[in-house]
Amino acid sequence: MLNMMKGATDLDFKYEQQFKKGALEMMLLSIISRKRTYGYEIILNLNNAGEPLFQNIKEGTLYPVLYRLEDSGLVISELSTSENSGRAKKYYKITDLGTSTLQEMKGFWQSYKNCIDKLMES
Amino acid sequence: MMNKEQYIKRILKSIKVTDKTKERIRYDIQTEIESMEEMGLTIEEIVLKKGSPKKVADEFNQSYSNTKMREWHYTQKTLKIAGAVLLSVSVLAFICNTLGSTFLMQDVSIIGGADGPTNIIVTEKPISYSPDLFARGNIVSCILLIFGIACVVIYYAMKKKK
Repeated sequence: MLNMMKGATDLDFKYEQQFKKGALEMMLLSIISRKRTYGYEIILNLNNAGEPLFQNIKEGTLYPVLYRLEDSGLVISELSTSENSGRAKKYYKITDLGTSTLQEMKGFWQSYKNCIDKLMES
Repeated sequence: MMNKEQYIKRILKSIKVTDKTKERIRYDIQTEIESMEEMGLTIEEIVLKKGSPKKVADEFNQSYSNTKMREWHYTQKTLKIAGAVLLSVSVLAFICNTLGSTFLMQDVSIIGGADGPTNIIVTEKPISYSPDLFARGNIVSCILLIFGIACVVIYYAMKKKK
């Protein structure tokens, strides 16, 4: 029980440290988890979401985060022929590790959000 | 106006990352541009939308500032230049050494037909080029070659990993 609590605390601490830069990682993982996609489609997704925070995201910001996710084994990239044009495109898709990490991130985000909301209300 | 390949090449030239990361970026930007072309945009419109190569490269450089990527980029660049220079100098040194030993150690020339020499030219050695000097020259060439090969090997090992 103590170990479990310690594990949870360690996990929370890890996410707490990484959260600011990790917000984009979570967003990208979430988009990629819906379907196999490529960089420009992700940019369009974020731009069209209507959220000012991610509306002007550029490739110089997006791709380094995608490479970090790929290096961590959370997503993989593959060159595949596009159905529409027949040209080879670089697609990203989520791995099993990525799916479970996304669940952990979502769980942490929810508790983080609840905590902040509670503190702001009181 | 530049074409798609030139545009990508100019972006990559200004990004300070490792060669492996450059390859990753190349495929992503290529996919991006081709997706835009599929949507009916011309390369001129794409450049206007995305910005100049320098602007795109600056965004990447901004993201990678204060990371190890910048350090790796300069290490790879140094290894590439050092490897090329050392290998070139070693080959040049070997050629000069061989030519030097051939011409400078030879001091007698005989011109003549089958029935006997008609002219014997004796030249003075401009400098003393002994077999010992020749051996030393070859040792220097070998050392330069070994360092050059080491730089190339480290560069490719690093390129594979980073």
